Amino acid sequence: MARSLAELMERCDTRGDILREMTPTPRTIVMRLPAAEETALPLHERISDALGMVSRAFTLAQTPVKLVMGDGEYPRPLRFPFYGNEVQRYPDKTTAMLLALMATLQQRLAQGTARSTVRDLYYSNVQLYGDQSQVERTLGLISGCLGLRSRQELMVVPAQKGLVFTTFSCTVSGTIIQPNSIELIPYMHDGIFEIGNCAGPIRVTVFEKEAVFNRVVETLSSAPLCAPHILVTGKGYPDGLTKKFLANLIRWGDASPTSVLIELYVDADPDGAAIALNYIDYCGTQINYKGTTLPQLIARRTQLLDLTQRELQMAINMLSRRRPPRAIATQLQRQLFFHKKGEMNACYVHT
Amino acid sequence: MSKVFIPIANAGRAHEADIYSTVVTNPYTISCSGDGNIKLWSNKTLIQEQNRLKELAITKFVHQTGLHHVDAIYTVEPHDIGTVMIISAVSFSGNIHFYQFMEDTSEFVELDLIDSELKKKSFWACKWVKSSDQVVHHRFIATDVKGNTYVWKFLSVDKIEEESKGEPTFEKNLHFEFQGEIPSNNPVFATCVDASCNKGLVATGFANGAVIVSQLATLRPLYTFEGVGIEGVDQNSNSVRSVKFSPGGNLLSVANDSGSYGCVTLYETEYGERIGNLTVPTQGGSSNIGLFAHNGWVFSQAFNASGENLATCGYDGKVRVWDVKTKDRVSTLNISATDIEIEADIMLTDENGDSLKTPPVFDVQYINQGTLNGVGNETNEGLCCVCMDRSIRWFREAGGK
Repeated sequence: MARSLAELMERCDTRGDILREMTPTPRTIVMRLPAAEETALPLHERISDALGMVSRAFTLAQTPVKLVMGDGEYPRPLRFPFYGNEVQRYPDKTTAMLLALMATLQQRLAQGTARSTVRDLYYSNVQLYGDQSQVERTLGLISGCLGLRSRQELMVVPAQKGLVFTTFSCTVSGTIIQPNSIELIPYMHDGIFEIGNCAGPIRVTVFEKEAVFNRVVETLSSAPLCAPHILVTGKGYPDGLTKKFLANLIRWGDASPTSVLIELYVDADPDGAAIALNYIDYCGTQINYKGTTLPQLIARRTQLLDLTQRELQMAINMLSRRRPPRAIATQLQRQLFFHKKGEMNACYVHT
Repeated sequence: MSKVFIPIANAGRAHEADIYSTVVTNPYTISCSGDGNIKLWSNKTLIQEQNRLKELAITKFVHQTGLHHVDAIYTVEPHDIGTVMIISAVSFSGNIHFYQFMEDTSEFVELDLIDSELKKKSFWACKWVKSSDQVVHHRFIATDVKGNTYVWKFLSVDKIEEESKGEPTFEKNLHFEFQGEIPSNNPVFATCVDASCNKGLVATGFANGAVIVSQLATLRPLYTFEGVGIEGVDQNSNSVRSVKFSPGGNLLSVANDSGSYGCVTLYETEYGERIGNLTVPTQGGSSNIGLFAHNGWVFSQAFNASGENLATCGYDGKVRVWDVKTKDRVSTLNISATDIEIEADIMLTDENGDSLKTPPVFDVQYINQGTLNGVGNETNEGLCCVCMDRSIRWFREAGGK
C-alpha cells in the first residue's frame, strides 16, 4: 500500500525504522530446482514450475521476487526489481535474461524442438541479450540451478562450424559421414564415438584455413588416395565440436587396433600458434604440429608481412605465459626475431 | 685483395634451440639462444679443446621464454674496482637480464640495474657502449618493441664526500643512471641499435625501414634515413635488421631487407650522406642489376678493429667480408651444416623438419688480434658466427702479417 513520506515519518522514530518500513517484503523463490535423480518430472516441467512461481509473484501478489540461486555465479540472491540500499552487483538485465531464457528453453523442450544453439537463443531476443556471451553466461546459471552436467541436457549445442572430409564411409555417433564429400562435423554424444568401415591406420590432417582444406579436397577428388584419410578444418580458431571430434578420434584410436595419426597445419603467425595450442590443450600432444613454418615460406620466396603490434604482444605473451611445446616455441621465436608472418595458403593453395 | 678465412673451431648443437646472438669479449665468446641459456666459450682454449668445447662451456639459464640478444662489457674500472664483466641478455618476454661474471670463480651474480618502472617495457635490442675516456661514462642502450630507445649511464662506484676528510672516497656499486629516452613518433618495432662513443651518436633501426641517428649526449635526433631498400617484384619488406658504426664513428652501415634479399648501405656520419651500397653481381653477369649484399635478409654486421673491413651475415647461409674503402667483397664464407667437426652434432633439419643444410647465419662478430690462442691468432683477426643449425663457428684470417 502506497504511503506518503509524512505518514512514514509519523509512524517511524528513526531513519532505520523508515528504511525497514520502506523495504518491500519479497517473495523468495529457491531456484535450485530438483535434479533429475530427485524427481520424475521432465526437465521442461521443472523449469515451468519455477517460472510459474515467479509469474504468480508478479501477477497475483505484485511483490518483488528474490531468486535464491545457490552457490553458483551469483551466490547472493537476485532481486527483481532491485531494492535495498547496497550497491547492485549484477546488471539490471540479469534476472530478465534468466527468466526469458528459461521461458524459451521451456517452450523448446516442451515442443521437442531438435536442438538449439547459443546463436539461435541469442537471436530469439537480441535486444535483451546484447551479445552471445550473455546467453552463454545465463545458460551456465540455468545449468547450475538444474544441476545439469552439460548444456546438452537442455538441448543447447554448439553451432556446427568445422568441416570434415573422409576418403571412406564412417559412422560418428550414429551419423553417417559419406565418403568423398565435405560435411559439417556431426554432433556427438559423450562416450559414443565409432568409426566404422575402416581398414589400416587413419591419417588425419587438420587445416586452419578453409581455403586450403577445399584445395586439398579438390586435389584428393581428382587423385583419390587408397589409404584412409580424414581432412578437418576448424575455420580459424576451432569450435568445441571440432576439438571434440579430434579428441574422440584420438580416444577411439587408442582403444582400437587402428592407429590414428593427426597432423596440424596452421599459418606462420602468432594466431596460427595460438590455434595450434588451442587444439593441443584440448586434445593432447598426439596432435602433431607441422607448420606452416617461416623457413618453408621463405624458401618459396613468398610475400611475408610485418607483425603488427598486437601480434608482437600476443607472441610475447604466449611464450611467457603458456610455455608452448618446443616446435611451436621455435616458430614463435623466429616470427619475433624475423618480425615476419606468413600465410599457409602460399604453400598449399597454388600447388 | 681477397682474404681467406680458415675454420679453427666449431661447436654443433651448442644450444637446444636457435642461437640468435653472440658477442666476443677478450676472455670469452658469449652466445644466447631460444633455449633460455647464455653460454660462455673460453677463447683461450677453443683450438686445444675442440672435442670438449660443449663440456667446457659455462652455462647460465636466464629465462624460459628464450633469449634473442646478448651483449657484454669487459672493462677495467678505476678506484681499485678492477676488471668488470657484465653480460646483458634480452629475453623474448621483453626483459633485460644483467649478470656480473666473476672470472675467478666462474660465477654469475645477477644485477638489478634498471628501475622498476622501466622494467615494464618490452625491450628488444641492447648495446653496451664502451668509453675509452675515463671522464665519459660507459653507456647501455636498449630499444623496445614500440620504437623507443632508452639510454643509461653505467657507474661502477658511489662517490662519498666526507667533510672530516678532505678527499672523497669511492665505494664499489655497479649501477645505472637513467639518461633518457629517444621517443618514437609511431609505434614501430625498433629492431636494432648501435652507438659510437667517439662521435657521440646513437642509431636506431626500425622494422619500417627507417633509421634515426641521434646525439648520444642530448638524445636529440639528427638524421632520419627512410626506405633505403629498392622496390621491385616481390619487394614487400625493407625492415632494418642491423645498424653498425665503424670504430671511429665516421661510417654507419645499415643492413635492411629488400623483399627477400638483403642490402647493406654505407652512410658517412658527418652530414648523413649515403656513400654507397655493398653489392654482389646478380644474374646479369658482371653488371649489377640489383644492389644486394646477400641472397637473403642480412641479420648482422661487424666492423674489424681498424674499420677497414665489414663482415655481414645473412639468411643465405653466407658470411661476407667487405673492403669498406673500395666496397668490394674480399671474402665469402659458405656455411654448411656438415662443416661441424663432431658428426653427432651435425643438425640437418630442425624439429619441424625444415632443412638446415645451408643454415642461415644469425650473427657475426670480428675477433680482435690476440684474442684467440694458437698459431697465427696473435697477429690475425678472426670471425665468429652463430647459425640456425644451433652451431657456433670460429674462423681466423689465413696467412701472416
